[in-house]
Amino acid sequence: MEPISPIARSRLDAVVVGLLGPVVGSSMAQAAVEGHCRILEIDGSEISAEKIEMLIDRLRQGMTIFVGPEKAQELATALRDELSLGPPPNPAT
Amino acid sequence: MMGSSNLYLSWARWALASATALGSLFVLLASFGGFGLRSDQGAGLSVVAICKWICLALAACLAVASARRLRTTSWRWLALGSCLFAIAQSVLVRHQLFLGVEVPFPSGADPAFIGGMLALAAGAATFLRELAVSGFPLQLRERLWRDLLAVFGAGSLLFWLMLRPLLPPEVWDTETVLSLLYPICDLFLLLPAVLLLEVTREFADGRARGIWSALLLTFLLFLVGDLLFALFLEGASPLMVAAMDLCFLWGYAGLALTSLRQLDLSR
Repeated sequence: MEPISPIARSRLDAVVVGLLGPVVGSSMAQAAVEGHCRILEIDGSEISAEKIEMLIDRLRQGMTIFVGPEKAQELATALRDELSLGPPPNPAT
Repeated sequence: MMGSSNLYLSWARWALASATALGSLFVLLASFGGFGLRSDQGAGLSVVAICKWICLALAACLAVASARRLRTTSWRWLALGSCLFAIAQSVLVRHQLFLGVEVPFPSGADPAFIGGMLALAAGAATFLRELAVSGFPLQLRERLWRDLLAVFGAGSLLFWLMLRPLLPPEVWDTETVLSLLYPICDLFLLLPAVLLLEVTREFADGRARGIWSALLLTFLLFLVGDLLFALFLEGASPLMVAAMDLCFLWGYAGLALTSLRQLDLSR
């Protein structure tokens, strides 16, 4: 599998707000990204693919209380697709 | 699969709107004596009672569906509360329609209503706890104490000014205790509801806000309805009966709307 290049922070913000904004509101979606980035110690303008995976997983867990596990998984998949990340890594490999 | 889910929600939306509109119409007609209707007997009573029951039956079915879809503790509590309300209203309908007797107070419906209110309060409080650990930056702890003080301050004032003069100290029968217990339970509902209002304001343009705003409106309608009930237990004017009926009917519709919006969002 080809290594995924880092993703620009501005692109990540735009994608997350675009997908989660209709559910939790754009300002809360933005605040969630900022909060998770702080916890995951993501700083700078570019984010590694590994950190992005962790961020998406945290967002998925948070969205579960609003939309349920299935729809939260759909949103996580849509985030991956928008960010061109491909399928999630298999933890067994 | 998605088609049948859409059909189910459309049908529920239509049934809820119809029951609410029809019930409201009959309450208003009865309060002004239109067509010789009265909301405390005959056709007026039957239609209003059935419309309330339809709203609560829908609320129970939709809340159970939401609990199954979301699999969260908060929705399990809300589903339990909605089911208890539906059971309580079934007891009232049984008395009013099938036994043809005036509903005694207290009746079997009262423990179910009280239990339902406590379950709804637990549902709203649990949702706040789930929200606090979900990763959304909401500063719930700071808000909790301020709102706790505001709600219980306002509640104590309300009780002192409105309800205390009605209670001679020697009379503490079941009727009096129950009619006071309802507004007290409403206060328990109001605290998580006020927190929810603050929290959902943060979700300004998101659809999640609509769910919890509907629940807040429901709790407020219950509070007004129960206060009117406690204040005018004896000798209520037709207008007061109508106001009480509308508060409960719309509150039950709000409860169903909460679950309907949740299902709509999570499908």
